[in-house]
Amino acid sequence: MPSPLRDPKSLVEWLRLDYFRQPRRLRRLLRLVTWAALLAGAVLLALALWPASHSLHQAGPLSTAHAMFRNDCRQCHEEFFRPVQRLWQADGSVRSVSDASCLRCHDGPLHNPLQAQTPACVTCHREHRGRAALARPDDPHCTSCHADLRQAGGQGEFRDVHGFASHPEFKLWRQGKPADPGTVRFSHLAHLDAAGVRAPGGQRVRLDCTSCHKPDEARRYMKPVSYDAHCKSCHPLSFPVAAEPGEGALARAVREFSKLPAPHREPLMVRGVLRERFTRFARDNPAILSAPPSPPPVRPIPGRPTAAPPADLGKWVDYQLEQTDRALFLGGGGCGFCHTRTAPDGPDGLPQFARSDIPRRWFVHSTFRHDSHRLLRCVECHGDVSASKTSRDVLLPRIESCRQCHNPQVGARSDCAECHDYHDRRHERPFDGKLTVRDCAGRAPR
Amino acid sequence: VLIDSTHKHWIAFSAGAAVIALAVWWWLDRSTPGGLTGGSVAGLWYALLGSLLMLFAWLLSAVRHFPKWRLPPRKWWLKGHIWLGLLSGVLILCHSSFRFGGPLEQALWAVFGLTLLTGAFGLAMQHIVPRLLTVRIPAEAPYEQIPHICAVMRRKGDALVQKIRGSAAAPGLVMGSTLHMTFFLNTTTQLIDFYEAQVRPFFGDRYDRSSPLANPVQADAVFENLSGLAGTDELKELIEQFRILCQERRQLGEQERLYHWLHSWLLLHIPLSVLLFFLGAAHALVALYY
Repeated sequence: MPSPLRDPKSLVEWLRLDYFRQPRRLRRLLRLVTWAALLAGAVLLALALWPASHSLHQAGPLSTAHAMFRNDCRQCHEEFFRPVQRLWQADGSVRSVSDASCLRCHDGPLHNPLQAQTPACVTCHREHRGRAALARPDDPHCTSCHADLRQAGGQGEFRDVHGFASHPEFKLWRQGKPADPGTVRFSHLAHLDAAGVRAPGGQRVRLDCTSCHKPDEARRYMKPVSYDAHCKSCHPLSFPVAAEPGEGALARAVREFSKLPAPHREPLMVRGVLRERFTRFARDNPAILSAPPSPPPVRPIPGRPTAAPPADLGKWVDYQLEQTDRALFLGGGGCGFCHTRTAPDGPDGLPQFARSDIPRRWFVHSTFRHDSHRLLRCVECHGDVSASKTSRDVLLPRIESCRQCHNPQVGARSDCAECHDYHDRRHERPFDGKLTVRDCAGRAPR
Repeated sequence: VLIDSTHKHWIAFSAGAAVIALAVWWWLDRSTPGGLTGGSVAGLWYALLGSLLMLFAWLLSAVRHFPKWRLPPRKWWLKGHIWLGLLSGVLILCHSSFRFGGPLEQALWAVFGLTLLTGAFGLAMQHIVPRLLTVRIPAEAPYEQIPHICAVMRRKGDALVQKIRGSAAAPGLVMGSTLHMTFFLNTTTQLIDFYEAQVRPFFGDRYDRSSPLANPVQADAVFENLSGLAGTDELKELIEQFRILCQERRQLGEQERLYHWLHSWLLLHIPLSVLLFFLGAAHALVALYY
């Protein structure tokens, strides 16, 4: 219904015919607000480009490792307008940060001498992504080559890998059941007896994995089991002093002397040490040379001398060493209890024993951290250790053991960088870099 | 602007381009180790195209401010402004690979999002409000004329009151009785007081929503009472004219309210666009520099 007031006849009375010349309220307000926005924009622009506020216009926070350079972009961005060049040349290899910038501080040793191509540092290490570890590139950086190494121009012993789910079995297990190359005889079964093992004092001691397997300082890998630290207390290299006299001060000295076991070294060195010890003992206790011999055994052991030790110092020492050779090197006890004797004997007439050859690390192409897994029982990964009778058994996990936790469903990380290092750290340069503290912190705001 | 069948080509083009842009981004993102970044060649292309589309949208104001330029018609540009503006959002999303970057980029995202949101709101308003105006405001006046019409109403009201006062003071007025005369004078006094206290302020430039006259039911009741009090047909006629004037003001008030809904989003949309221009320029400058 039209207005009863503003009929066409009276329209002139109601309307201003020049209203379009009048300032419009909304437009005036709009202009005001737009100018305010212009001003605010200019201030924001100035703030964003202000030299002391680099973190404002950075594409994201720097990683912790580079946080000290957050106000000094030139530490990494040495050349400018590289993105324009990249766009203009349509060349993705034009990088905003050159490898030279990274190599000023970092080594970045070659990944593999056989690799077909070497990507730029920033291809894998993407900065301005916050606190995410810069040294933990995404899997596609690895699988772009390792998914099909032949097509990628690579060569070598490695199989194609698409991810941890399809990762081939560890090389150790690929050829069937592996054998430990170590030559030391050892039975986990005997040492992990639930009733315990007999200690030198006669009491029984219950051993567990950590009794012998100790982590290194970084708590990453297990230190090698050492005779002196782990075996000696129960398996001392004791030797008898032949023809020990009866009672008295000399007898006590002989007993004290016998308590000091032989060193755990090569036979020649053991013999040298013992010769020195016997000589010193005889000099300190000359009575030993003239001591009455102990009565001969009723039923002498064949091969054992029954004659009394000679009274001459040199011959007495030789006599004693002959006895210790028999006890330590030739019998079933002594060195031969754990070590395998090799033929022929050495030029000095002493037996030779195989090197223990216990691998210090088994999976040399990966890294591992025992400390991160300390919540688990050892046997969860290392199998039925307590059933192993021989050191030939390899008690290392298969890949399936890792996959139980390291999968997206359970949540433990399963990316390549979780276990593998890209750079060959053996070729890193030693310490003593090129920068000064001022270079690193000098331009940071005070 | 109304979205009708004339938009179908724009919609088809924008939707198709958005789907292609997203598909290409998806493929590139999958095939690039670590994912696509804004600084990669493809990412920069997305940024360039998105910026050009934004520039196109910004140039709408140029069409308005420089009518002498040989530019396509404003209606065509408005359609492009809507659909290419939305498409620019998709391209910028692809450019950023759905990440929000640092503080400057986050501010840029917020402003960009608000610009799109206010634009979408404005578009919705342009679909809803004109229909409401047609239904609720039978006698729509040009918005800029409303203060003038209110002034005319005040003048008309004043004239009516003057007429009432004149009637009451007219020497030739014939009354049936002294009682009738007294009643007439009381009614005119009440009517004049009511006009001064309620009606005249209601005709002010600023529409008073709290006034009882702003509510049609209350207003009708008030005028019914006054009519009941009026002793003569002449007064009833005057009261009826007041009622019509108030009804007119109510409609103008409603028109103002709807007009604000129809246009006030521009108070956000345009300044945000300006801010977006500045922040976008800052981002482009810094990003291309480093």
